[in-house]
Amino acid sequence: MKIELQNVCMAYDDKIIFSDLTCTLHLDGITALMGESGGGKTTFLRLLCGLETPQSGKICGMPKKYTFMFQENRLLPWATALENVETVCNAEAAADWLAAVGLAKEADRLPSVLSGGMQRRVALARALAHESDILLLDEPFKGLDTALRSDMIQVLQKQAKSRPILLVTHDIQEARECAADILHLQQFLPKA
Amino acid sequence: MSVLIASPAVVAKRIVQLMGTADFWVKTFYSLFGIMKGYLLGVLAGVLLAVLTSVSKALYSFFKPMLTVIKTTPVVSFIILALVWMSKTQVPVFISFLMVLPIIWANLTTAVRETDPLLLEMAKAYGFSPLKILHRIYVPSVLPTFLTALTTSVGFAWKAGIAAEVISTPHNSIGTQLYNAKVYLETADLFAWTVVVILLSMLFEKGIIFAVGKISGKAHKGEST
Repeated sequence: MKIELQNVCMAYDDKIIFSDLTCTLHLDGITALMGESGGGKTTFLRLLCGLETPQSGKICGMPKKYTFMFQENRLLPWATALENVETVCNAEAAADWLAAVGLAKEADRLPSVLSGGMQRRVALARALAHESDILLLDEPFKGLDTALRSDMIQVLQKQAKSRPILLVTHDIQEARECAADILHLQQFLPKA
Repeated sequence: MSVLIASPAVVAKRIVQLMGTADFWVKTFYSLFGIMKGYLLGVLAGVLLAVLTSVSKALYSFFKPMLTVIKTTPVVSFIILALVWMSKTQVPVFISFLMVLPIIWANLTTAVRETDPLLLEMAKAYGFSPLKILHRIYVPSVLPTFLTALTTSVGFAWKAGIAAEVISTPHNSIGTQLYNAKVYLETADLFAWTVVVILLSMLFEKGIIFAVGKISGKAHKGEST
């Protein structure tokens, strides 16, 4: 999959995030996007899926059907783990995805009684259960220990055979472990 | 002394006496149904108006000052106006309606506006249909506020409804009994009917909490199947 960003300018109020961003992404399997904190990685993903509109420039090649896993879990607090996943698929598939992330036993529990890592995995299960042509994941392993992170990487690697995954991470080890390709946001920005 | 205040024992005895008469139950149910009618109409209109004003900014700007005026105007002014506009049997219903409407509207509108924008953005990103957004996000999000508004407005409906009955004196109502008790200085009756009103209001409130609990529980079950 090829996605092109041409002369993209993006700013929040007075803060310029991208002044003239031009790049071409060739996405196949898992691609990790790295960069400095506050450097615009999340904004980059939000621009790709249309949650942010650039002030100028254009983005070509992005499929209409996408999945975006937010940096925050954004689970419905009044719905159980299973019901949260069920918002994007049928009950059977939701149960399968919860099992895939190791939460089959927690299906009937509300997010408030789950640990941070469990909540993150419910959010990941929801993202994986959502049918789309591309997965954009913003720090998907946040709050997971090393063992769980390895398990989740395996789940993602299986998924990457059917659709490309672009994920944001701060951890170079994590990026090396899971991604076939590592991009640095800085490489796309015009040098000052 | 018994003209100024009645002892609890006398009031209790009078309530028991009243409860033994068919007339008591006729008056109780007359007031209960009148106020309940006004209350339910107020809830229905408040919900409908909240939906409309949440969807349209123009409607919000149109209705907000009107509802603020209703909330701040002394209830007695409305009772007297209503006596000019309609029959005295309709006044308590109308006044209860008028007290409940702005409470339900204001609470629901605020709750809708305060719905978590992060969840709404998540719904957008995952392509939720408008019906799913309503069902999965707005309804559960506003339900606690709605329940509070429902229980808060019960007290207002009773207070204002009985005040309307006292002023408009429709036949066979609790308000008329309160008025007669005042005119004939039957203080024990005044206290007895007041206790009846308090008990009815409390029972009504419990009934509302029970009904809403059942409905929201059912809705939740239906959603998860």
